[in-house]
Amino acid sequence: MTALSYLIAGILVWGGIGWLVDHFVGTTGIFAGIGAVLGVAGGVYLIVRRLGA
Amino acid sequence: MVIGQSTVLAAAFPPSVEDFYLPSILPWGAENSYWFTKITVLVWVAVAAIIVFFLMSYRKPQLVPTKKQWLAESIYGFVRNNIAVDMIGPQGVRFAPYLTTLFMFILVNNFFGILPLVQISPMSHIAFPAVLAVISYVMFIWVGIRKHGIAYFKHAVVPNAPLGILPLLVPIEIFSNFLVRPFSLAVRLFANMFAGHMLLLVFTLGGFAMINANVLLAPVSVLSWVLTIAITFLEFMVICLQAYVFTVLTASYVQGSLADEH
Repeated sequence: MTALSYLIAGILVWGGIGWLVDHFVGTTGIFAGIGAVLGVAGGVYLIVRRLGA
Repeated sequence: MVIGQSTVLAAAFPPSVEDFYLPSILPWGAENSYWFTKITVLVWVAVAAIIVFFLMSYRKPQLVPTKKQWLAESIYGFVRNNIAVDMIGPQGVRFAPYLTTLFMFILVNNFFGILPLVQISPMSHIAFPAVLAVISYVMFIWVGIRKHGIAYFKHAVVPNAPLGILPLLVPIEIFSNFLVRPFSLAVRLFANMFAGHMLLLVFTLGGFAMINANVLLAPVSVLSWVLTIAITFLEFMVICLQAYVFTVLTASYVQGSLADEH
């Protein structure tokens, strides 16, 4: 449950920030995509840190 | 005559959100007044039933418990040992009363969803799960601040990671620990009870809709009603599971607040 929530939270937060950047810069989704990927990376890292060995 | 009756019932098919807003009891039959409805009555009945049950079972405690005392002790023992102590550790015992109350309140309120002739759960209105979630939310933050002081927020938000990667991680932690938690607690319980009620409505009213549309469909209607009963049993499982999950997650959040720095 915690793992899943970190993954989703990661995608949502950084995807959302990327989406906002898109909005202000005027691009059509590149930053949202990058943000989502970064978010997944952060989420996985957090899961390993908090729940892993 | 029978067909005429079912026409009235089938008029409500497909069921909608309106079916969750039952008519006002006081003032009787008032339009758009939701201060005192069946839902209100059910919540107070649940509260009264739980208080009376636990008071009665503990009135004259025996060394060899009576049946009622055994049941009450089993419920409390289950929450204390299998949820509070298992999730939080030895210091979890002091949260056992709250967790038991929470568990019983959700369980009884959920159970109204399948109790014959009642068959709607107050938990299928988002307000009730939302308030419970807010209580749990405030509690686990409060417990954290009591234990760690203001450093609790640092502890909760800043993971043990290299400095360079922190800007990436901290927003995720804030989002998942302080924004998603109360929301997901409330929505999980609400959505399960809402969907369960909706499902039962669809199968019951759908039976009437089919038999009204064509008498030849009567066997399918009967099948639909039989399935309603089967779904009721499935609902019973969901009811117990959701009460358990809400309590376990609350305990797990409290555990996170109490955990020492690692």
